[in-house]
Amino acid sequence: MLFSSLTFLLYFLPIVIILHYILPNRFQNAFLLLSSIVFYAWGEIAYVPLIAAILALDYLLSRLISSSKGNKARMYLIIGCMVNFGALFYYKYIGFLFELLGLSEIAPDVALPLGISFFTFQAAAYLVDIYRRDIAAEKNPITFSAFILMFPQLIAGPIIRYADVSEELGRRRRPPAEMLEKGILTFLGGLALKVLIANPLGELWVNAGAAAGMGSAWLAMIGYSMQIYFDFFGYSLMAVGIGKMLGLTFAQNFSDPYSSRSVTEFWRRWHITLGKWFREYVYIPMGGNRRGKARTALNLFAVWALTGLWHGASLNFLLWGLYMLLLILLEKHFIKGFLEKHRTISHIYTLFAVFIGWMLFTSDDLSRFPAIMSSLFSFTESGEMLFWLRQYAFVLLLAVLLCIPKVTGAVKAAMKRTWVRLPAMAVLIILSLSALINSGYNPFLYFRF
Amino acid sequence: MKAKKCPLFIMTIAALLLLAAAQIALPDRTVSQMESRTLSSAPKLSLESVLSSRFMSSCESYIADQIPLRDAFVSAYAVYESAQQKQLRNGVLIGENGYMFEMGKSISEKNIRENAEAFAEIARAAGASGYICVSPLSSSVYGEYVPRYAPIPDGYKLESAAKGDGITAIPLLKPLIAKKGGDALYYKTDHHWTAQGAYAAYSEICAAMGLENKNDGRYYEREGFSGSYFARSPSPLQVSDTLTYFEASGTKLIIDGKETPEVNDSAALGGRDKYSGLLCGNHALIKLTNDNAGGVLFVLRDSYANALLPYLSQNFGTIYAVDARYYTGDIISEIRKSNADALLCLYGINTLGESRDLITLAADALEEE
Repeated sequence: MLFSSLTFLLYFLPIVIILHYILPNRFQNAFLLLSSIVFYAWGEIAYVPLIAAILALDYLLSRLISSSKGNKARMYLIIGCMVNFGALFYYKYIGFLFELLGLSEIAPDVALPLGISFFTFQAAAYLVDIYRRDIAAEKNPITFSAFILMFPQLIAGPIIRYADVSEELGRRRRPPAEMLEKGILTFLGGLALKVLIANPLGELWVNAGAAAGMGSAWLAMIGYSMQIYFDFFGYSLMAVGIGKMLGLTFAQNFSDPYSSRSVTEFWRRWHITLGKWFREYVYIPMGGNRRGKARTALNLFAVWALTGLWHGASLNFLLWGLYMLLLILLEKHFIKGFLEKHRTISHIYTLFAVFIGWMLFTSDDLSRFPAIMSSLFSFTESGEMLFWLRQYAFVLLLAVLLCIPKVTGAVKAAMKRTWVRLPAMAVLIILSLSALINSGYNPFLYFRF
Repeated sequence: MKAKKCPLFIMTIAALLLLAAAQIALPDRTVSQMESRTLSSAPKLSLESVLSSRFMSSCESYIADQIPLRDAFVSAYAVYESAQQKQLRNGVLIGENGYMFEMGKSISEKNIRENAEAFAEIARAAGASGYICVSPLSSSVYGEYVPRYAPIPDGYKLESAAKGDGITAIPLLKPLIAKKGGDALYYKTDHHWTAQGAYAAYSEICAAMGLENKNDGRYYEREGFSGSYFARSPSPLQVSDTLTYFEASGTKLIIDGKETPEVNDSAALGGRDKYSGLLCGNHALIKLTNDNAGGVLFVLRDSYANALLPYLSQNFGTIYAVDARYYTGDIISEIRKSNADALLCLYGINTLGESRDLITLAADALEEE
């Protein structure tokens, strides 16, 4: 089920929020788990047994790691990583591996289970944290399962660490009025970003991308870059908002990424929970930057290659990850000082670098990338871009404004006033529902991951 | 929980639940007048439909179609998009002067050529003298109302693709553009031509076939016509059209061997999608007879013909008109059997550019030969 679906909005969300609120504590986690299973099964019923099996193994291993020491604990952790990453590898990468080996014809035909990239990462981190004795293993299998599967963040994150929610999961959750209010506000804001900004800009990308001419190509690139941000940001906001209404606090996933002045900064502001995960569970365990230059280089390479591939099993994602690493190294060793001194140039450089990156990101078929690049610099234009610009000028303007921290800050401040919040949100709900009812165009980019 | 401290939460959850409750309580609508389409009905709940995910996927379209105040929501979004000065809504171009146009993205020149060649093959195989006459898109005729820089197809290029060996092409775009100063030739909210547009095309056909140009009948008008473009992109800000149609004196309509009580379906003419009332809609094979004239014309056609055939029925005692979308018989022997003096292909360029009906019809018939 998508958050931005009418089934979810009219039925699932209000019913689950209300029942969760009134249920006694001892049933709350069981109810959360049950509704999460329904939520998952709604979109992907065939994979429910697979998820249950992974979950059961993870639970068992977490208890074993917790109760054993030394090499034994280590062995269980390795098994745990093999279970989670093995499942992820099989369902996400096996086709790609066969293709690389030139064996696409005999590749097993597996469909990607929804959200597998998110919950396997969350489960693996949980096992590592127990192994490191950062946290105690959850004894109650229902609480554990509710933690891994909780529907607000099941299919698209944010990736949550057990330490951050264990306290809330363990106690009675009847969120105070302020938390409910903040939750619904965050949710509706995310919904509006997704439905009223990301979806139309996705149309811009498709429409202008199909047009010949340099202006259209730039417009399409900007459309896609804005779409992917507001799509994912909107979805993350919705997750955080639902979490609040269930009495759970999730980490924010974005912090005005397009206001960054370098690619390095961009990655501290974009998909924050994923970046932290790679840092915490790949980069630092591999030795980070403390084992000499060669090892640091290897570690960075590993992190960025994996970050790229995490987004999808094809060559363009790997290249996209390495492209980001290249820019980060370039910044670190050569242009850091220059960027710090020149404000405007640093913004333009960062947006250009990131947007070009998105063009690589979207080129599943790698041969599309050079085609996009050549139209970006073809220096011909039929005037058609003016038509597309006019169609999406309003939404584009909104999108650009909402990338500026001062603007988002002002919006947030204004929403604190009830007499602004209520009418503004009433309009947004009506428009969001109208958009959903009116059109069939409602993809979600991060579903593939 | 203090309700005063979370007004937005209460308001939103209450509104959503109210919508859900109203949806369950209110009876389902079967059709949407505004969008001229059948709405989804409740999905059947069964173990099989749940396990195959069919139940879940049909739920979403069911809820979207049957949500209370659906028309109001759709209208609200149209107003919101108009306020943004958008000229493209739900794939329909919103032009000047109340004109709506299609983008024509799926119209393929190659497809037009293949359909026209298929028609030429049918004409050759049936031994009939073939004519092809294709209605251009309204955007090709009324280019000045099309939003600036909108990527629409080149009307002349499309028209020049509608040609074939041994058949006579009757080009319409140039004469229609020449005549557009007077009454409207095309509807604003629909892809079809008006009675005036059809008459202009009729005049060209008369000239090409050597027929006498007659205008011996009555014109009718029906206000409040919202056509196919409107149905795809309904908006309270859109003006409606007046449907115009011509009834030739003495013309009778015969469907499935039976004469219809009226030549045009007055029930449909009273509804929103009025054009569908002309010649009682689209059927696999219809026959028009007129005792005031002689000779036989055989027509392969789509719905554009419904406005035009009444004019031609002044010149032919019998007209057979086949709609390839519904016709399943052997077209070549049907044409031979009719002893037709001429075989006319009468289509909208959008149909020839998008469907493969004539190609399939020809292939099936030639296989029989």
